[in-house]
Amino acid sequence: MSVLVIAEHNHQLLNPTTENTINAASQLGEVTVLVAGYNCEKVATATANIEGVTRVLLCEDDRLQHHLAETLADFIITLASDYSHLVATASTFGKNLMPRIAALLDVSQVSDIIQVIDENTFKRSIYAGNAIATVQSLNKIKVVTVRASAFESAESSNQPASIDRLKLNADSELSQFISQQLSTSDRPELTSAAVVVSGGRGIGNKENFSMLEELADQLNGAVGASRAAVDSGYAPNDYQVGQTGKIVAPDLYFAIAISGAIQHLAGMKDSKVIVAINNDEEAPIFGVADYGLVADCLEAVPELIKALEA
Amino acid sequence: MKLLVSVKRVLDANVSIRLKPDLSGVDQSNVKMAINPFDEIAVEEAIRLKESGIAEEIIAVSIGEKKCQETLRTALAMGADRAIHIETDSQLQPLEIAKILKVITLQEKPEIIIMGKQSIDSDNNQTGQMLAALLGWSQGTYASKIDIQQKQVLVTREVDDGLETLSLNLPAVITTDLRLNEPRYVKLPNIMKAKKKPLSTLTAESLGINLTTGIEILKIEEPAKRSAGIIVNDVQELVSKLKNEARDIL
Amino acid sequence: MTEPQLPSHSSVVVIGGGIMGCSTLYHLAKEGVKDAILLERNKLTSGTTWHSAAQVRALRSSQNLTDLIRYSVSLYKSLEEETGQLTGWINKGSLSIATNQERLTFIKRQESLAKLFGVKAESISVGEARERWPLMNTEDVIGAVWSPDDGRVGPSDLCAALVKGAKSRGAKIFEDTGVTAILTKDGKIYGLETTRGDIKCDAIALCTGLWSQNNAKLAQVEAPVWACEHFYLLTEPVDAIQGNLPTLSDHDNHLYCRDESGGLLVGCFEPFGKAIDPDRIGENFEFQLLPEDWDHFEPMMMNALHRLPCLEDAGVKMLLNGPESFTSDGSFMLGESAETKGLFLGCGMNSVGVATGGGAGMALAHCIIHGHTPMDLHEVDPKRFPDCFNSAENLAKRVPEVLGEHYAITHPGKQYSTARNLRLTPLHNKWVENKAHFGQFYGWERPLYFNCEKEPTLTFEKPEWFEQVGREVKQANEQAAIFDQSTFGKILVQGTDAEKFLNRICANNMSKSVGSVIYTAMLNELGGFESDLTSLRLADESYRLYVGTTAVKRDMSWLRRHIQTGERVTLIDETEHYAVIGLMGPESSTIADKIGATELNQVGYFRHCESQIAGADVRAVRMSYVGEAGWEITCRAQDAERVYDEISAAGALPSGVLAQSSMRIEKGFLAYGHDLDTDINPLQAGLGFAVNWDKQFIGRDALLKMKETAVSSRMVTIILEDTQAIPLGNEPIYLNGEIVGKTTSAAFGYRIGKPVALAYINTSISDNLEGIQLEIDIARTLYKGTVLLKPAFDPASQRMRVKLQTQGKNYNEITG
Repeated sequence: MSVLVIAEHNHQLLNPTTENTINAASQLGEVTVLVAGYNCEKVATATANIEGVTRVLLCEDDRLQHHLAETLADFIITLASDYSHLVATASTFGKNLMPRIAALLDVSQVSDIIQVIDENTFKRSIYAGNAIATVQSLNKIKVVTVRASAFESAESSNQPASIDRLKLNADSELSQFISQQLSTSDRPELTSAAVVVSGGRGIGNKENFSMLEELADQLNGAVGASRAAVDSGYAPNDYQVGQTGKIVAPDLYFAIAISGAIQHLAGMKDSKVIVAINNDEEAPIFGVADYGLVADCLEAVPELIKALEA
Repeated sequence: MKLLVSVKRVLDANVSIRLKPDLSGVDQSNVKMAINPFDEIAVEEAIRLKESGIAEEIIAVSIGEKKCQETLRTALAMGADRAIHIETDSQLQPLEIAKILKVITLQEKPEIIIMGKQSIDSDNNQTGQMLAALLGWSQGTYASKIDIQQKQVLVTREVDDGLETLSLNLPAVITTDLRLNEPRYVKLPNIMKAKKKPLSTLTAESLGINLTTGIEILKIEEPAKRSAGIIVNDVQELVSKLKNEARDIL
Repeated sequence: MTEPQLPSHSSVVVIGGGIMGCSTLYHLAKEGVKDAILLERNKLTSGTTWHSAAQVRALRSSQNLTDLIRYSVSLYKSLEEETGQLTGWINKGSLSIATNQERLTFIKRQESLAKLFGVKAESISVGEARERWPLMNTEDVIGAVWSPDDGRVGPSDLCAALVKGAKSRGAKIFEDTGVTAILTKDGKIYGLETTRGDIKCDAIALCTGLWSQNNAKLAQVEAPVWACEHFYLLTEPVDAIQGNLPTLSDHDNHLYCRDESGGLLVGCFEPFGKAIDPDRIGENFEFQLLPEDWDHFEPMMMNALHRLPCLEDAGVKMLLNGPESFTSDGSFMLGESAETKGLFLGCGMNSVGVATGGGAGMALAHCIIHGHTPMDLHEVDPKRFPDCFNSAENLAKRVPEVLGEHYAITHPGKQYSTARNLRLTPLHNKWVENKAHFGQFYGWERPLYFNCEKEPTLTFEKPEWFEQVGREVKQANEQAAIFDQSTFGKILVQGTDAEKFLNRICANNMSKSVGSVIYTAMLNELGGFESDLTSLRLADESYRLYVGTTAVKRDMSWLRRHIQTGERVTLIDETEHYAVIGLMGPESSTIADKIGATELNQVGYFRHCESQIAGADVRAVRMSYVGEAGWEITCRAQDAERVYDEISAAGALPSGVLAQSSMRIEKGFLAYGHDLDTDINPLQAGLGFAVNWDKQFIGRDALLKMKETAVSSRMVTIILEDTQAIPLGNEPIYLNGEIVGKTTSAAFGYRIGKPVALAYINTSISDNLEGIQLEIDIARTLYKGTVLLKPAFDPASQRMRVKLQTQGKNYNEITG
């Protein structure tokens, strides 16, 4: 069995979640990683040093600057026949790309797996995580996306893999990049952070959210938000944790003023330790929290920040 | 411009699901169903495009058992012009759905196809992308803004790092994200009018597509339960617990 | 979070955490039951209560049911102060509108009733109605009644407040705790098993809503509850709605309308609902709803659009469909079960759960603690249901109609059309041959009147059957009539201690000789009527009790409960073994001769004898519920048709229940459930003659005390002047503008040619009530009437008591 993993990167750095995906992929067979981008040799080098990677394919072309799905898919299907599995992280990048590849290959896709049973069989969550489906792919080529937070990260290897260069042999002109508005942050990426501090609508306003950022920084964590908080404008959309936002499973998750609706729980209930702070003792979040504190978050969080300093 | 909107009938988002004891699936009897919230957003966007004069006709499509017609009626009540029900009792995967939608698309020749980015039951997030591939069309997923120009459509997408705007050649497949719009509430007269709007039915089997899926669902079971936690009395106790019992993390 | 431990013992366990469970627990705790607990298998209110529209309208069909709601209202207001938890009580009143004359009469009757019960209600003009509800289309509205004290609550908030109040007094609540078994021994509760351990207890309050039938079976109890889908529409905010509105009751269109979160809430009780099997809803139906059904709702939607034109432009948030519980007769269940001691039922609320819950929980707690409800609640006694309604099939057929009846006009003569012909009397075929129009009583089909060509149109005006019933009365009054009284309950009481036992239970002297017939009350400790019955002493150790058609389960239960340990008494329900045929009228003695049943003409008044008719053994009692000479003849069910044929060939003709009812009212004979209930004692009812003071019986002490002071109200007959008046019972009686009493039963008295009513009036209005002129308020029109202290017809009962002579001729000579 040989697996082609599509690396996610920003041409400078490999997205850490790709390491989790590589780890998952290595349960399926020999792993080759495709690094497709522009001036991204650094990424290829870094990838070659990950445990489990036997080969890196590097394709550099300025038409790959924005990772447009149409172009990438057309390119990847020319490589597909060498592999039994095509795998990517279930991020917006991977989710956007992989189904297009699957359809072009006339195969079904297994999305967002949380466990590998064998090379054909996987577990995935459905109904916002309220049920787990065990599914089997019957196709010759399996297209799979991986929920990074369900797998450990890969180690680094002492035997770097080889890097082969490829030429881009596709150019779909169906779409063009216009612009982007990226959140710049020094904080760890939400989907791979060990600690996440999340706020809900009960935070009250955008200014109060900075209190959560302070706590996150103290713990070297990322900041998340419930859908309600994002809808109210307290946080940008890329902070959203939930069924249709980001799915995270950090070691420590703080749910601050989040009531705990099913759709939010779907995004964080696999966190190792959950701490909930809410002034409503009946809030459903207390049903999943390991430690619950019934308090006003505007008082409790500053107090918590102080206590952790000590 | 003609728009095609695909809608799915799913369990209402607020329903607690019950699994069948034989682990074959989710019990859907006597349960409140609803239009997939993301598809509802798609319908709303289509209607707005019609109201602003950009689109002339909106066709709603749904694939599944007879009751899908209720979902189509919701779309019609919101303002779609006509509906097509592809009837089937088979459990289909996104690839087969996309193939069926391709047949309809070739028949109806819309310029833009809009659908939800994922359905809240299977959480697959595949159909729109697959359909775009099968048609050889551009795709704009997770749209939070749609701006139709002469020969292109500008789609702003919600991505992991923030927002990205792409220009897609027409025809295009667009999938909706949460913040694209807030769907309108339907009015009673429109619910009645919807009953008079055309709704045609075809069987999936009559479309000449291979409906055998490449996925077999072996079982559907409950997720592992978390063990119960405790309530702490104050921040001091919380910190002490975290330092002692969850020390690896801190 | 880690859960507290279940106790090993609790005096009272409440099962079910909806409004009934929460209220019952609150009141148990308030009354001092410190270890009361509540078990809820999912979460509080997660069944039906959470989605209730939570309307609170005070006026019900009786004083006591109305008082329960008024208690609820004052409780819901005071709970906020007591617990610090808001109940969401909004008091904006309710407006009932009428779009046709029958409804107008009905809401005016409701207005009269309201005044009788002390509930504020006033007829207002259509213009004033529009002012109170500006969004309402009034073009077809002809009248309205305004009730300012009505309102609504937030059901979840209310339960949170009740639970807080209960917990503060030591009660405990356990959610996510299902009951898996109920433990009984010798027909009494002693504990239960749950998913988290076993509990010993002395009593259980079963408040499990629409799931009650299955849960009751765990204790071998039958609770005939079923479920129906209930729909209401919610819209997004409507500009024209500022603040809260009164509830608009447009019952002709099956709707209730009010504001909700700035938009409209429009709910319906459509003419024929959708039943749903509680098993299909399932046990894990937690905060769930059923699918929308726009097709089913469409007629109601059209009605709503007609009444509220602004709905056209209001966006619909959802069509909520939540199941609610219904019983076979539209009233809930409150009280101890017939089958199992210690198992109390508080369920089957027929969509009045939140309104009644406060008072009902209080009454149920009281019943559990003291052994009886705080006031008469026979209308909601769980023992009132015939067994035929325990069947899922019959319930499922009936409840859609019950839902539809929620807003129907309660016309005189109203009958359900579903689930009929469940129990047929032995003479049923004869009644069909005679084109009877049937009514259902305790599951039995009884002929209301005969020669009915088509289904009558019901009305508050002169009924279509008026002349026919008059003919049937005439038949009994001038010739001989046959009445089917087979539906009477018949209880055989036997044993060496039978006489001793009955003397203890019954107020009258049960020691009379064999052959005697005794009319007696069974009283409770407070001296109120549990039942009234006629007893035949068949032998020294054998009595047959004849009880009312609907009373047999209740009376059997009462008798059984009062057998002391070691007492040698057996009880057998013989109701279905025997037919009872009434043969009444001046010609009845001739007929008795003709058919060779000469013993009948020889038996004395209020005595019984054996005889033979058409070769069948019969027992005849010389008495008459209609005040004419004759007998109530008991024979085996299988012989009934022979006996009937014989009597009928001899010239007697059938008369129905309505004729019987008219006649007994003329005679001042009282009926349980109308003129008698547990709040009434024999002194008030004028039945002191049937009390034997020389012995100890249940209720004697209480009665003696009452005897010392004059009764505050007493039973009288009132004859109305206006022959066109149609009194129906449950009407206020005025003297000089003040309410001084109420009617309990009424009919047109064909033999006296005037409408006649039985009534309780305050004795304080005069030392001598005889001949006083009063006014009866019928649908807000006052009708003059005169008070009599004796029956309207044949007050000396000469006709009933006439000494019967055989003609001295034998049958052959008569027929010649």
